[in-house]
Amino acid sequence: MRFAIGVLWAAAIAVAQQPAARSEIEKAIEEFRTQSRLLGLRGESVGQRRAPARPRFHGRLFENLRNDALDAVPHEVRQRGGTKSTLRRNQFGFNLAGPLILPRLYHGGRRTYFSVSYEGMRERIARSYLRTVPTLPERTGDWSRTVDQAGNPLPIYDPAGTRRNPGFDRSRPVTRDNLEYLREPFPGNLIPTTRLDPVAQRALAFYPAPNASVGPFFRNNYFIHTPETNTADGVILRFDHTLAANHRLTANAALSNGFQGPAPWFPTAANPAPPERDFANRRASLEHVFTISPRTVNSFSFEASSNASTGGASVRRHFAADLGLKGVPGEGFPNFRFQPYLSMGRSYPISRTARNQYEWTESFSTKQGPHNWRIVSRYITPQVNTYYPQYPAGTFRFGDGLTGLPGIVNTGHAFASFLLGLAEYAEVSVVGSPSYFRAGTATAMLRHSWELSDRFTLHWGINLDVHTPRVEKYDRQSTVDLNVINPVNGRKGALIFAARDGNGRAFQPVRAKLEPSAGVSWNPLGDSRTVLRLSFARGYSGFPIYSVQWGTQGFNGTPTYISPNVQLEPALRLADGLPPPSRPLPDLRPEAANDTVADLMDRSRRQPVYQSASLSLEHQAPGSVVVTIGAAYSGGRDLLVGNWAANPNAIHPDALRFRDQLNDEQFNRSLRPYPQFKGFDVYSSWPLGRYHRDAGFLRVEKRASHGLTLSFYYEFSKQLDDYSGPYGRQDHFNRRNEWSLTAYNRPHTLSFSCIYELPFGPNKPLLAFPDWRRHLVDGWSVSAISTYASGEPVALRPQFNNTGGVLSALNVDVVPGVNPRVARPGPELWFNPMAFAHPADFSLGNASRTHPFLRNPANQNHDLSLTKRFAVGRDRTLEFTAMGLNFINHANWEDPDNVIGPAGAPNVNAGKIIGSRGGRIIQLGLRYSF
Amino acid sequence: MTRALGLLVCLTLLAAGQTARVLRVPVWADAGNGPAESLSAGALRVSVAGGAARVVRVLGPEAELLLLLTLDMTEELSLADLAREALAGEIRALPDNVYIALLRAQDGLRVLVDPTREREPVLRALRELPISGKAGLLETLPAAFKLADAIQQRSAVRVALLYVTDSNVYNYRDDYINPVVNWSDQHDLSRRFPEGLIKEKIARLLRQLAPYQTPLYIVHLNYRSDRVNEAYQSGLMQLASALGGASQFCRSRQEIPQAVAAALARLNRMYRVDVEASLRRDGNVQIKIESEAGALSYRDRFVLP
Repeated sequence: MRFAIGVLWAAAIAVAQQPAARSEIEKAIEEFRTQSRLLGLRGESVGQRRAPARPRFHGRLFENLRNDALDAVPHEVRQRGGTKSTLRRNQFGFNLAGPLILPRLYHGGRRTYFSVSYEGMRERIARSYLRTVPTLPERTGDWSRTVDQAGNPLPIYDPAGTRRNPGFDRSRPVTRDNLEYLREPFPGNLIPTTRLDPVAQRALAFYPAPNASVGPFFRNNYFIHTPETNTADGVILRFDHTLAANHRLTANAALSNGFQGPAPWFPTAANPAPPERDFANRRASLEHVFTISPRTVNSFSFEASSNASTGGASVRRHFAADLGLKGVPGEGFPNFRFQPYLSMGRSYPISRTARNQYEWTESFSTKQGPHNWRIVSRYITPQVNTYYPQYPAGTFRFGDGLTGLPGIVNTGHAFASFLLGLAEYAEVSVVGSPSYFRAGTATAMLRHSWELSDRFTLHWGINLDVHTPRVEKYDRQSTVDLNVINPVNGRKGALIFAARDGNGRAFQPVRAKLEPSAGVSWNPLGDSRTVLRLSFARGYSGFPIYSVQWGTQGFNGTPTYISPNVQLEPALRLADGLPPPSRPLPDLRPEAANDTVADLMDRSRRQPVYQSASLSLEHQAPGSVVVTIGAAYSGGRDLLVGNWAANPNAIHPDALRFRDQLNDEQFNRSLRPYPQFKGFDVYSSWPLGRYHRDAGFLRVEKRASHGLTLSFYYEFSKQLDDYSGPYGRQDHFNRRNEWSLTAYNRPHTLSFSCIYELPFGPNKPLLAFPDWRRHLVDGWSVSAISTYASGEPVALRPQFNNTGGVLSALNVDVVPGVNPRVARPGPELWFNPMAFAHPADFSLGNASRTHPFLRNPANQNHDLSLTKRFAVGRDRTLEFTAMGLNFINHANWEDPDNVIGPAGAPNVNAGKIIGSRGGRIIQLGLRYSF
Repeated sequence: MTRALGLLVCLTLLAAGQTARVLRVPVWADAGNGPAESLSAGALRVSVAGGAARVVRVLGPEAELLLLLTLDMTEELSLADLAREALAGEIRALPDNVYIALLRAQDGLRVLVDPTREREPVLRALRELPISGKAGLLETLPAAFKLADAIQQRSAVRVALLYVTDSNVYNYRDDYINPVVNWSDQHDLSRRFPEGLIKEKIARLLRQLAPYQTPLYIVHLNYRSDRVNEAYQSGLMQLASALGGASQFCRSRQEIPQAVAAALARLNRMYRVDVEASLRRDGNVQIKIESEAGALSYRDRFVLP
């Protein structure tokens, strides 16, 4: 009994001491605490160091392969009878990321994370071009079978027998019936071998023979189909480090070395294609982010980058001496130009440049009530260290004037002049030392976003941009000052030098500009699915520093040799070589640039200004469809243009009335504002361009939860300007007349893209096989991008420019009443060339620079990517990708022949298209991700 | 005798490669956007992989909900602040049976506030959360699911994961964007379709997370239209959809409060229906649930580990 009582008492105590049964939520909270501790999610602040039990590393290994065996033969190769276009490309690499662990030294845990990527590339890829070279008989002086663009015999005249025509009537224009100079054609149109220049003959040993006969009339007779060879190896390193809860550091470094060996056009040292180049790209950055409070963040970053390239290591030889061309100081093959044939030699054959940039950025962001403020200050110092001689072995230009009948177009030939060794222009680049250019840009930005209501937000900002102009580290820079009197002729315009004679180190002013921007976003109907956005911005751009040693005349020389009259007398004879330089370098006289194409910097306060405004309405329709419709305007003025569109030494077109007298160099120069100079080189840095663009667009995006994303974009635009185009401005004194469609304006552009993860396999709606078949159906995805763009405006040009050097670009004439369109545009005839005429000698063309409605053929492209992923365990994937670029093997037409010949010798090819380009390219990729 | 029979059934199932499994299915009784119906175990007809299954438990909106609210905000202060305000307003209005655990995903998953029905600690942590760091949504999902599923297994409460994020695929510590390494390589076509890496990551996550049974909700504060972010956002939609939840993407500021409110309201209306069925040890199963009360929406595909 006592035992029983004892047992009962003990049981009662045990029951009383048992904790009350826990509720389900208490169990849940307890489990939360336990699991979060086990998973390492608690008990430490972000800055505390704690090593995870097992560090997890992620990454990938990959190889991408392209081989011509997989590709379609490009259309341009097939059309020349080719059956193969060499392509071998391997791109390979890896990525590894995870916590930084230095054994026995440091365990990054959550604090320090790294990522390293390596990528290598080896490539041989064929390029093809169709060009024209002299026929074999022409190379020997036999021009008996040579015809012009209309198929008429082309006479070559002997310059040796040139004499004045005693019967010339000055009151009438020069015509075949009223010649100012008399000159006889070579008998039988054969240049005697004794007259052939020995330097030219030696140079021809480096010039290839024709290898094609596309025509017409021996034109398009050289088909280049050679491979370029490229290699590259690069690494990107990234570190993220958390210093403390509110402090974070990010460091990046990238290094890449590359080699580009462009496809040679000639198999000899006279190859005019760009030179081989070695690249070394370096970049490093450090960013510190300080989270001051939940609504205030400050960040500071510093970035340094260097992009260096070295070109022409393989042509460092004194070829001019080999050719017997005397007086040429530099290495490389001399550049001989005789249009329309391919030239020999190249510009910038040897170069060494490094573009370095240092950038400091400080950014402060805060939110106070409905106001968001952001203040940014940035300082950028670009540096360009460059050795970049354009023609160290000289450039020699040959024209048809010396082998033609003076004053009569479509006679003579530039290559015939070359055979005789009669250059109409020559120039040599003598670079004594590299240039070390420096500049700077400081920017202060203020951005404010004000949430006026739930439905309306206003944001505005203002930048203060301060551009300091280019200086040279050793003050070895110069420019022509258009207000300084030249001591030689007493006219304005003479060379000045940095930090000398009271000049500053820079020639351009410090430019400080305010750049405003503003915008609103508004839900007009109180419906968050509809947003109206309106924005406006105005900005200024600085003057870039180019790699060329432009603006260093005097320290570097460009001895220039100019023909007194390109129809009568050469600048020099190749056999005689170049005269010795008149003065050694440096030549720091004000007249040192006289009789050259002098480098000219704009010294005004003008600065390129851009302005844009846009309006868009976005609506989310049912079915995850987002439709955006909008309109945009942009415009700019004082945009930087080059020699093709700016010539401060231009002669007014009224001077065309002097007709053939303009071919006399002395007379011609006397009409120029700065006659002491042959011309000016403004090197894409003259602020004179203007443009205006209007566009409307429609974007439809379809988002869905089944892995499908579709996007469609259409834009209609019209852009006009007064500077763009392949040939340049005709009339520098009437910019209004140059206002026409922008040369690269494509009014209709359309793009479609999709990303689709196919809904097959486990945990997906279709074909969710549980067995082996899941390996076949799971992991497929498709991506596609298609683009269509209508053609650019047709830019026509006349065959000959007989304006005595007054107009560097000449437009054609419009034939009134003739429709330039054809009923069914095609390769046989894309436009009606009869609607245009060659302008008369010494007159302006009356057509616009680009045609207002004729367009080159449209372009389209369709790319597709198909991916299959194989799961390797739960965490790893093997992915195979087949990518088809232009996968439907579509051929895009080349542009039609745009040259309009004179009435007596029309270009039979005008308006025709002689081929198409493009071909399917397949790339296979394999990637292992872990 | 009964024990002997049970043992026999178990042995038979094992011999057939099958075992009794419990699936925790998130269910909503307002699939037709109509008023929420009350569900009971008896009113539900359930089949799993075409075979009959037993409803073990039904936890409705009146049962406790443990919401794992994870913030992953690194980009824009103004959007993040708007989201914080919207969350604060909605959290205050939640009923007492909703417990909230607050976590942050930037730079790895971390607990900020343990589960509680007190609102003030959550709101304070929400206010003090800094908006900085690297996006962490993709990297933290496995840990978040492991945590949430463990709770579901050990307790009879409703559990849901809600991510509020403004993440940009360009702001992850891991590389999903395949940046150009060799700038002199002019014929690189491997980046023509730049979404490859992020698609692969999403596919891997889908595979990793498929065995988990907690529903995932994502509210993204800033929809981006570039191709890689499109693929990323589409992937987030896929993840949420496949894991029994949903995602909302805000294209304008005005959408943020609505998206937050909608997500919390829907999570609050969630049922947890525990279903027992005899299933193979691994593989995919399709589940079908019907109710006489009306149409239901639920996660209908599971992958058994």
